[in-house]
Amino acid sequence: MKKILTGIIALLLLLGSSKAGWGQNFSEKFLEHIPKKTAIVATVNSSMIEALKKWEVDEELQAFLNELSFLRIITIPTSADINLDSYCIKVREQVKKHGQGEELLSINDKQRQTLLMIFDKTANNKAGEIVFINCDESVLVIINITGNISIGNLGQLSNLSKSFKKL
Amino acid sequence: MDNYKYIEELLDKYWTCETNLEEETILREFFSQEQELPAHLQQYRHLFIYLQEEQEIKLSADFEAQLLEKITAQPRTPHFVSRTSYRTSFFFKIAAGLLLLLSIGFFAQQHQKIQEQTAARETVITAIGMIAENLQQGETMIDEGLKQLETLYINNKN
Repeated sequence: MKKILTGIIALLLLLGSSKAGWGQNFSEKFLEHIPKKTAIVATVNSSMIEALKKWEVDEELQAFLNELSFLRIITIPTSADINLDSYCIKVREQVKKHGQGEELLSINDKQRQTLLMIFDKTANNKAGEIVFINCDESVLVIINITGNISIGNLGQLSNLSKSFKKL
Repeated sequence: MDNYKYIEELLDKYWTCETNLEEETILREFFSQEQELPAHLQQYRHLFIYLQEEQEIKLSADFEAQLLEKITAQPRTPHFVSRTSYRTSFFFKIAAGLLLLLSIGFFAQQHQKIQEQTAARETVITAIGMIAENLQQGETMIDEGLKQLETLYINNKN
């Protein structure tokens, strides 16, 4: 009986620790590995997203917000103290470590490196997490989105973005 | 008529303030009579009746006692009223101050909330914009790559 109870407790502890690990999104993990002052971080958490849903009048943006549960933009601009290349290498290494993801877009040229990764893909073609990395000579930008985002709708984001540019 | 002449003489003396008390009494008694008077005397009737009535008004026996009672009672009521009004105004001032503070706090909070929401919306739109732009560029690059492949294929075929 004791062995069974110890086994159950050990299993629960293991699940708990694993869950904590899973619960952390990419941006949280990445921020743990860099000095705090180097990055400019803009976060839109779930409660703010809920508030935005009520506030938003644009239907397309509201549809996107409905699938969103967390959004964060990390910006690291180049400076005398920061070797941006090392950060770009670091972020790519972190993406590999983050888990089994699918590379949706990758652009590599002399001027920049862009990577769009999706994680936790479900059967109905939805992504649990999206990581976008853009690294050029002047800045490293990381966009981290979590929720239940339709991958097919990602292409429609350009239309949404255009409509906002017009405004 | 002689009687009237005497009264007229007395009236003349009255207007020049030469009548004595006895003559003034005669005038008052004359005008208090209910008899018909000639028009030039009738006009003075109301004056002498009024003067007589005024003289008849006397203070009641307990007038002083009543006055004293009112004088002693008077300060209490206004004192009480002023105290109440002072308290009321004091509480009104506090209530108004609190209301003002609450209103300022509420509007400041609302303003901050709107600012935060605007910033959050801008962050979302920026993120969408960046991803969308790169997706479009990716698509363009794929198209260009496909075209190049097609050209290569055609060239090789030829």
